[in-house]
Amino acid sequence: MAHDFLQRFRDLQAYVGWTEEDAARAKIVARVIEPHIDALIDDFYSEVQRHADSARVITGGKEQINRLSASLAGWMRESVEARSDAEYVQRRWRIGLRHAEIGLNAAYTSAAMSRLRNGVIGLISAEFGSSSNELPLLIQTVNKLLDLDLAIIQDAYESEHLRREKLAEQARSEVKFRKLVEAAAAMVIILHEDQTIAYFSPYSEALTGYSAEQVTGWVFVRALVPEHARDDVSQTIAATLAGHPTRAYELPIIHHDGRERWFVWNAQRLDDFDGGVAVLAVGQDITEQREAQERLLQTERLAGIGQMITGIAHESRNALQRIQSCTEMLELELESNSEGQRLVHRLQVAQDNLRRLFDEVRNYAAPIQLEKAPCRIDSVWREAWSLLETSRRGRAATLEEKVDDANPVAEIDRFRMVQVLANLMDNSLAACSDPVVIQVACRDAHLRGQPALQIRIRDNGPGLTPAAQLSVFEPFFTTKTKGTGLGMAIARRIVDSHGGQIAIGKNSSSAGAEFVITLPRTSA
Amino acid sequence: MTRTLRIAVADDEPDVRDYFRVMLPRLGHLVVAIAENGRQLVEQCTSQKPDLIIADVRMPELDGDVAVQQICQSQPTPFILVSAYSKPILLDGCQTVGHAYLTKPVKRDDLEDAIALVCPDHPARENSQKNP
Repeated sequence: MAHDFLQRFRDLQAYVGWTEEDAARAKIVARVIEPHIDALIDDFYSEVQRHADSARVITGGKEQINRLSASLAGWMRESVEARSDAEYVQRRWRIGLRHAEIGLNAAYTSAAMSRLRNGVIGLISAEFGSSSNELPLLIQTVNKLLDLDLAIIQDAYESEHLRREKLAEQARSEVKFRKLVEAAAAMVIILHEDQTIAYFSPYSEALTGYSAEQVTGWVFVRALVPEHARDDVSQTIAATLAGHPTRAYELPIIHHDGRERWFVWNAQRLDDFDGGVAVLAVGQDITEQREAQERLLQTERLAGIGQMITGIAHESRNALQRIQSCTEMLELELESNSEGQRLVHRLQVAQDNLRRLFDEVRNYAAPIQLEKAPCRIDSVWREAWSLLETSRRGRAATLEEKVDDANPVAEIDRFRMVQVLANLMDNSLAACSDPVVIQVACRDAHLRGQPALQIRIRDNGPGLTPAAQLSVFEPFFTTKTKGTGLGMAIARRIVDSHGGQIAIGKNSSSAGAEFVITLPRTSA
Repeated sequence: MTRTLRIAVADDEPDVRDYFRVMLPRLGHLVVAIAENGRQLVEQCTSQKPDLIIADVRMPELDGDVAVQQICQSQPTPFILVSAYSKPILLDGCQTVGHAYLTKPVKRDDLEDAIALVCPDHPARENSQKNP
């Protein structure tokens, strides 16, 4: 209301019926009260100090009262001058503002004005006497004058008070909003109209690896959105700014370390944020749900493929039997033909390879059902070693065992673990030149906080190249000229199904390959 | 002392039937019956009374394991069941005779070993004509 206060004042003057006569009478009042102004002011402030609610605002003691007294005297003299120009109105307006600022209860303004009014009327009544015809008119003028002043003071007070209340309410709701936002387990961001980041919640910091300080001012899509999605996201933000809220929009955010996390976003326009429009976006982290979903899909897909492959591997045995039958009959037919015999032998080798491939594919793809029982792991690796007797024939190969103080017992499927260790040893025999030394050791360990048994198996071969280290557990990865490339994949599947882990040892180097198997002591 | 076994074979695949027909005599035995399914096997065994039955498990009309079970009820006969599946098949009431299960593809050596296991009084290995 500050801008049109003069017009408002004129309107109020008309309302109370202020006239030129009143202005003339005000000058008479001025003359009468002039010698008594100090007494009126003393009375005014002694009363202010008598009431706790009004005294409260006097925080500067005697000095402040002296200052206030001087301005009150100025105000009184100006009032009875009744100039009523813009400056005059503005000064009264400021009194209202000041009252609001210092938190003076508005009721005391009215009460103080009433006391002042009584003082002034008392003085003019004493001057003119109750029989004077002029007295009622003078009293009317004093009333009009003071009521107008009071009106303008109250107007300013109310408007300032409201403004302050609004600000305080805004601050309170902002605190509430911040508390809510900062406690929310979601990414909360605010974007300016130019799509730069204005606010970045603490949880956003945790989920992205960036601090709010870092990202504030960055263009959101360029900083955090994968390139392929940027156009679409920019358009979505623009649409939100235009007033179309965004709902359930799935979008990945690039973490500081380069990985992506998935969020489902809801966003809406903020009409008044730092003096402009903005977008408030809330992103719920759904990375884990998505991963779980994908794992489930992958598992289902693999189960489907596994079933099909198992079926094919079974059914192929009938055809393999026919090939085997015919090969052996052909061998008989070609008994006296040495070239023919040689070819039949090659045919037989190819056929054996095919059968082994089918067997291993089926082993890999078929569901694993473990029959677990407590077993000594050293007896398991010895059985695996003896299983490879044929491969070791004619080779200089030794198995060096080390159990020491470790407890070598774990609850495992013995048959399957023999297969795992035999696969590892078979690879070593294929990779190493004589004399082959395979070291195998076990020790007590922990896996996911539970007691576990760790087996290390190491050879003295050429070791694993960095490329081989990455792919060694992938199906159909092989460095051997013979073999299906499923041995390690099967080993991993078996260890996984035990709830264990198989990994390449840190000591895998050009001095040999090392594998580390960690198995829970007891089944979950 | 050697003994030539009188063997009944059953398989729905002509190639496999031919194989048994050619190979079993090479191992010193006599093939007395060649059936294409379980029903024929039961009929032929009733008339031929073989010393040993070698049968495929999955066959049209009547499966090999069911046929063998029927035969064993009236004339207990040692048997070898051949299957594409590696799961063992358990036959009720046939446990008193020699029996073996082979998984396809079966080779000559597997066959010889299984015959020796099922008919231990037949020293098949020494008697057979093996290729070098």
